[in-house]
Amino acid sequence: MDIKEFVEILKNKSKVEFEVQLHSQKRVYIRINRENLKQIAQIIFRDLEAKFSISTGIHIREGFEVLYHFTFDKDKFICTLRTLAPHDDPVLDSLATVIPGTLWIEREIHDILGVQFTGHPNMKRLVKSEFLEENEFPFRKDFDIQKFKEKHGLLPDSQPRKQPEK
Amino acid sequence: MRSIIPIGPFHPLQDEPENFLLTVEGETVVDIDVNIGYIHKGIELLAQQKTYDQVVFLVERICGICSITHTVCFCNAVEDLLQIEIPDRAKYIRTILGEIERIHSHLLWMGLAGHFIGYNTVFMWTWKYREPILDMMEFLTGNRQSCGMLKVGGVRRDFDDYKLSQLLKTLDELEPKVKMLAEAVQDDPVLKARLENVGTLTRKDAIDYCVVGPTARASGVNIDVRRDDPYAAYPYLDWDVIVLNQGDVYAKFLVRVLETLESIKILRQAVQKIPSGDFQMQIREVPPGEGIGRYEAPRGEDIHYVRSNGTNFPERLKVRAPSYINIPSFYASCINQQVADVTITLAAVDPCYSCTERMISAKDIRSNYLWSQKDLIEISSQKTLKIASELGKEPDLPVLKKFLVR
Repeated sequence: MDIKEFVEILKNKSKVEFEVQLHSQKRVYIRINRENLKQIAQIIFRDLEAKFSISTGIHIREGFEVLYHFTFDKDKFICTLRTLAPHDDPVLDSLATVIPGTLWIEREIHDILGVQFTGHPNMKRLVKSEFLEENEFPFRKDFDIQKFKEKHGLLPDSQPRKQPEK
Repeated sequence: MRSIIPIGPFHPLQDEPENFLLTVEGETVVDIDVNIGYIHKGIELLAQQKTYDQVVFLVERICGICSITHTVCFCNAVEDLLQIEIPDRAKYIRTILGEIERIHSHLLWMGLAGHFIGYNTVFMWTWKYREPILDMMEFLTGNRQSCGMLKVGGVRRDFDDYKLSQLLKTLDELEPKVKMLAEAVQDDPVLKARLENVGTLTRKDAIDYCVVGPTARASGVNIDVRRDDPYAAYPYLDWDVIVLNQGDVYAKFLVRVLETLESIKILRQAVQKIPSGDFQMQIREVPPGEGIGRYEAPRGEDIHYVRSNGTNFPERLKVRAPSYINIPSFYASCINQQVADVTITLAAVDPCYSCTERMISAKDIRSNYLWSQKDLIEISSQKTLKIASELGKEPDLPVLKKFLVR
């Protein structure tokens, strides 16, 4: 199965519309609507036996773009699902019930970008420090690193904070 | 009656901080919770503030063991973005570096596994055999780890023929020892009794949890990035992927021993076949776009995603180290195990927490004061000064002098 055949199979099985961007012989990017995410992920993971590698969360102009990288090891290519959670409603379906491998990465994307994953069994913090508030997300473009550093005394020239009284 | 046994964050055996909460009924584990985040370094965010050349050195410092892994993987990702093919000599040099790393990493794990089950002979042996390989790395590149050899578009320095002939000599000395180890592992009744049918990860669970590397290959999942998404010189060389079906810790041990022998085979061929010519190419600019790089690290598939916006700085770098996807498989492999077997099951995926996390917080419980990084540096500096004054020496760090006033 090469990339062209894979796109055909996916079109026939899912019966939804999506936009295909071919990067090279080994890499393909597919833009899908967030409503179809769970269905398409199920087809790719269960029926086409791809391996879920990782997802990436990026803050772009339109909202939060979440990429799901699936690797087809027998057929030697990578398919990336591109989906968008808009600013006013940053919610996506959780894939944890379909792919247990996504348990941690969804927690991480929630930590760093504040995207909600509905249906995830355990949404507690994975990597975010206690320094950060519940509504502070370090990978958002409006996150002020300078201000954060000032607040916690991490700037090189800022005054040292008072020592705790013993 | 259920009780919870906490292991870590200061682990008595492993060097890195992690926390496991084992829920046990009598001696049997019924639930496990893994907490990480103790050594989160913020490397992904830091990478967005550095140029592509600097990021190569940054990703080298994600992990102490897999320094070649992350650099080659990042270079693969940028080269995929640029859609370029690097010179052949550079490909072979990357292969040689990668395989040396695999040998020393596997020997490191085998030693630790022996140590975890209380069999320190294995620990002493393997770590003794590992030393010459690390010395070879220093001889070839100038450093045992984090050698700074790679750049986008090739490698920074070339190897001469004399150095490569010395590598062959070291391999000749190493091979009989690894073979002896492989035979000893298969004959040893102690290792078999302790590792067989312990921490079994079934093929279905391995696929569901998307595990990679030796952990997957010991459970019968036939994947290897070196063959499935070829990079460097692997397509030109003859070698085998080791796949076993048992899924227990013993199979994982055996996969790693046999892979070490395959690595020696790959290294011999690479040294023999290495072509002469250029070892790097100039990259003028990075256009907007995205690239994915993959690399078969000693612990499994490493994957980097790079997005460029046309400037000198990457828009986003996502790093997924193999341990990140292997550790959640504990939810499957540790349940219904005996508590005594859990230590080796937890160690069996060769977890690397430096890779998995990429801020440190210290809290004074008495005053409920959260120490910042600056406070901690200050305490450390004051201690250095105290030691220096006790020894009667003048501290030579100019930064420290401002603390002298107190």
